[in-house]
Amino acid sequence: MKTQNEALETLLAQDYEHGFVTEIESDTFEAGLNESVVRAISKKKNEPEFMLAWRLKAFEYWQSLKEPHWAHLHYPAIDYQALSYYSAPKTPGQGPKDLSEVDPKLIETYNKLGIPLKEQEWLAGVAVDAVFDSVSVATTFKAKLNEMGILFCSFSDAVQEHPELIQQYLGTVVPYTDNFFAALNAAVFSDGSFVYIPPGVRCPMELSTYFRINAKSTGQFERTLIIADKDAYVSYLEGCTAPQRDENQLHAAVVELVALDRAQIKYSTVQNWYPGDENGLGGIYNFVTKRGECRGPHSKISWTQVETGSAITWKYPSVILKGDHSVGEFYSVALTNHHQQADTGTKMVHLGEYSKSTVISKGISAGKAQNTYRGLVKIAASAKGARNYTQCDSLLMGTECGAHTFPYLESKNNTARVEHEASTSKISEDQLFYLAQRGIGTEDAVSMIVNGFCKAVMKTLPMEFAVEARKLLGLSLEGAIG
Amino acid sequence: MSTMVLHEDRGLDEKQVQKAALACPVWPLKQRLHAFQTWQTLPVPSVRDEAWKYTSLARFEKLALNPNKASTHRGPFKGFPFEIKSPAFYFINGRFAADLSSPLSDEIRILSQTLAPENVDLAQNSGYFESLNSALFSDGAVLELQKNRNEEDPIYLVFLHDADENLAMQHLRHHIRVKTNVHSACVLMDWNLNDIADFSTQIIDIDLEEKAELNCLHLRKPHRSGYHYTKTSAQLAAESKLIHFNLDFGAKLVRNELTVSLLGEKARCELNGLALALGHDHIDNHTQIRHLAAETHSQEHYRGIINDKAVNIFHGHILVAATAPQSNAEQHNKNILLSAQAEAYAQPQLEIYNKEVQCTHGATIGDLDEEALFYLRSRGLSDLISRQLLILGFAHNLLATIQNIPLQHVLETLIKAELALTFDFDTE
Amino acid sequence: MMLIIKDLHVSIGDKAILKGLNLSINPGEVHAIMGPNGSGKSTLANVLAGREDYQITQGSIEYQGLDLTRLSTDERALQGIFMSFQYPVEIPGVSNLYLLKSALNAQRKKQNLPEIDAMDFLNIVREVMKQLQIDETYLYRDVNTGFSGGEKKRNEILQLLLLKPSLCLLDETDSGLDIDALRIVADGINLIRDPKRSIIVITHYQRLLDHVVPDVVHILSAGKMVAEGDRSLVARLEAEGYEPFLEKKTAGAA
Repeated sequence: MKTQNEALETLLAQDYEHGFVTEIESDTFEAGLNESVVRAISKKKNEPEFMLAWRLKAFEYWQSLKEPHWAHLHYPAIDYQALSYYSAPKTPGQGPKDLSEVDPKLIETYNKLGIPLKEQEWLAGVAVDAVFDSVSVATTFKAKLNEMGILFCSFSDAVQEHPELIQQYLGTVVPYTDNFFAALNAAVFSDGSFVYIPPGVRCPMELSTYFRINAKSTGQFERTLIIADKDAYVSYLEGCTAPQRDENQLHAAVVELVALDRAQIKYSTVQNWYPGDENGLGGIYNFVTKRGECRGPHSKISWTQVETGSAITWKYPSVILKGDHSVGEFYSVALTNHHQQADTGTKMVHLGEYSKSTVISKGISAGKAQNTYRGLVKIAASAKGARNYTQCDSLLMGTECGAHTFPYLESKNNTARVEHEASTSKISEDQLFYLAQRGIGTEDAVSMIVNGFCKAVMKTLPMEFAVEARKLLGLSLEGAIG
Repeated sequence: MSTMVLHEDRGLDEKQVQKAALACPVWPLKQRLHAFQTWQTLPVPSVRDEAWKYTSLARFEKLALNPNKASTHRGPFKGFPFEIKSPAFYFINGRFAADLSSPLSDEIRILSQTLAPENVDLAQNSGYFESLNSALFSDGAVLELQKNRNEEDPIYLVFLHDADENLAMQHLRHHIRVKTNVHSACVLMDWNLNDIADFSTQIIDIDLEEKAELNCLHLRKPHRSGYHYTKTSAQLAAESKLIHFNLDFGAKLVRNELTVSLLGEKARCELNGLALALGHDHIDNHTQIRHLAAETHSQEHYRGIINDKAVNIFHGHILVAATAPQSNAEQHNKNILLSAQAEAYAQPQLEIYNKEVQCTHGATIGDLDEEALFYLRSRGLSDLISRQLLILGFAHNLLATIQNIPLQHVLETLIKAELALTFDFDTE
Repeated sequence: MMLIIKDLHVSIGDKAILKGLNLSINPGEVHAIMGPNGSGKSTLANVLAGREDYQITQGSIEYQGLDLTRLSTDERALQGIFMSFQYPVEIPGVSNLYLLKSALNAQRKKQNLPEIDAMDFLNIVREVMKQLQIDETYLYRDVNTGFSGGEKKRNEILQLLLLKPSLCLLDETDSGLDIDALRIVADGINLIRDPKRSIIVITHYQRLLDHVVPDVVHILSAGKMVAEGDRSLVARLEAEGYEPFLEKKTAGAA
């Protein structure tokens, strides 16, 4: 174990050897954002010229933008100059020394979820062997994946090892001009994941950031790029199912998916960043741009998300259905409690003939939370025979909460069909009484009803993910009714 | 200052405001001038504004607008298919036509002849078209409905457009109040009499006192190249009920904003809307239903039939406030696209702050139902007839809510003519 | 011959459903087609009625000497083909009365007859409605809209009795009917049995065939006819299930 530990230290230390640009000397950049910070990030990561050029263009564009405020969200203004834009991976010793230094509430949650001790330490940021176990696991997998020609590595590694793929695909789905947060991400993103599945290959396992050591502390501006070449298949899991300790207030990640002819990408997320306490203090602002492009005919991209965390969520995983007969899916559960606010949904942009999309969104509002579905279905004139079906259901549980549905339906093709349905409901006294009479306590009953409400989405999650997501829903709702 | 020049170029200046103030002194000139200045300084709504996302005023902004002249036209009115037997009040080119109208009474007065400016709150209407209307409105009806009146015998308000110049303007403003316990009905009609494009704005305030009921149908059949803006605001006291039907034959631009505030407990509304968008029509309906008190109920059915290169927009916002427990809201929007270049945009919106409520909404955009088409054809009806039948059935579904049967038949005939439906739908 | 189907192959999209089906029906005969779910029973009815998204990839359908595949759905209806739908479609805004009258008049027009007089029409419809024990208010309701399952099926039979087709395709007309309704519907069907008229009854169960006795019974499986017999076949099926017939088919294929 010791030697492995040393190896890890060496591995982590490597980053520092690249050194810093002269004006910034610490491993965490000073607060503030200007062109030299962007240059410094790029230089620190030893990026090729095209990356720096792209970052600078993005930064220039970002400066011309104002932060958007159309979402149904309320939060104090973010001072972008008060943030630090680069934080190197932590060395062992920087985080909590052991679990006794970690917030007991977090530990309690882990225990309820039945998470093994080692994983708890990893999740809580305790820099110990648990991490190393993951590395070895990751290495084993990596070898196997390499044999099949699958590339699965950190974004930084991909920039060094496969610059041609990065140059070909980066920003082609989410250009830096897309929105305020996407522009910011493009300028300053620190790291993220990269996946390439070669033609005809079916990735034999669920890929997950869980198994990648350098997923930790990639910071606020993560960037993920997944490419499924012709006839390829991949299922990707993002995040893990326990609340993550994280000091970063603002997250502005970008995820780009590219599905070529007949390729399929399934992307599942369980997001449970720190939501703030019951009084609405603290918590993560999560402003994410996720988009997939069904570039080839008969390709398919499917997003599944279970969102229970963050103080603020601003997230619209989308699919551009360019290929004829391509398929886009969005399955979402967004649960907000206490003072959480979520404005989430999807965009389905139909360009290809006979492209098809399905949107199932389940919003649950408890406490004083505000939960908004916002979705766009756009049928271009070219999308002959396109079909969309959207169903949005809201469950209101708090006396002061809100549930909102803001769909946009746009059609320019008369052979296409767009259908949207939405409803609201609550947990009735009758339901609770019925279950109580069968000996089921209120909390279990609520959890049962909520899970039933979310069933259509939960069943699209990979099995082991679903089990934990179910537990998580129950936990997030503790005290929601009573 | 450049905007000032532009407005003058468009044929709008303070002289016209002065003229309007003379015609309808209910509102002092000073307030009108203020409204005019507001309009001049207001930025024109652009597609970047969420509320105007699908409706561009870029073309309208550059058009020259003309004052309306008094018309001596006293009929017969070309194409006007209604045989009106109940009380009717006519306005031609924005001027009240007493000689055509039923006698005025306590229930029905005319704004230009009313001294006390009641219910008139300039500040409430500060938007782009509203402030233009505030500056220039020439007349309107003031209804204080005190007698029961059923839907078969409504009060008609007929607004005839007899423009002799392109985009001659017509700005009207109406106040309709239904007294406690009174059940009444009215029909508003905008009707273009000749082949010249018209431009009109209307602001309608509706107040329903406790337990009052109003059945209101608003029909617009303007010139295809005209521009029309209508803002209707209804306030409903406890246990009152509004049934509103909005029927639009298109124009270059039709923009309707309808806001219903359910202020009192158990207030309820039913909003129905049918838009026939053909040619280059652009019809944009924005409705808002505000549930502010307990046990309020709303139902909304808006439909669009869209052909050629026309565009139909439905934006329906339903707000259920925390103060409105035990309320329910049901909203449906359906659009059929009949041609390859027709476009439809739907934004059904729910904003809910109370858990003790039941709300649903649904929206669809698409061609005629293939299954239904197959069913009809399997019974021996031709493709053409089957299609026409489905289109008319789609419209008929809504028209059937109109209890005034003779009126319903006239409207159905009008719709058939508009859509060039060739078969006989009479089931007698 | 009323109907001759030879080696019929039909697919929806990429999926083959009928795979070489043969069927011949003489005028006056009642044929029952039975088979497990997904065997292609409803597809056969829909193909005969002319649904467009079903592609005939091989084979022929001859109806009263005509190549049926060349006719559109409404032309087939006017030539005397009537399908009673498994799931009758709801058509909001169009009244039953209007549909019945239009359908009847479309037929009369084809026969160069004048449109039917409104009073005569009402009398005919009322007569038929009485037979089927349907309330008259139903005429003024929208086609199938808000009807119960049983009402929809009775409505199909009403149209059948009114339009007097030559070839009737009854696609699971018995599903969703209670005992009384089943008898009424069966009586309706028996009423139109005629030496010049043929009927195809598609069903899962014996019960309708107890009332409407078939001349020939076919068993359809995986897009092909796998057995044929007289009404005793129904009893055998009811006793033994589809299994023995399917095995026979597998054996035959091997």
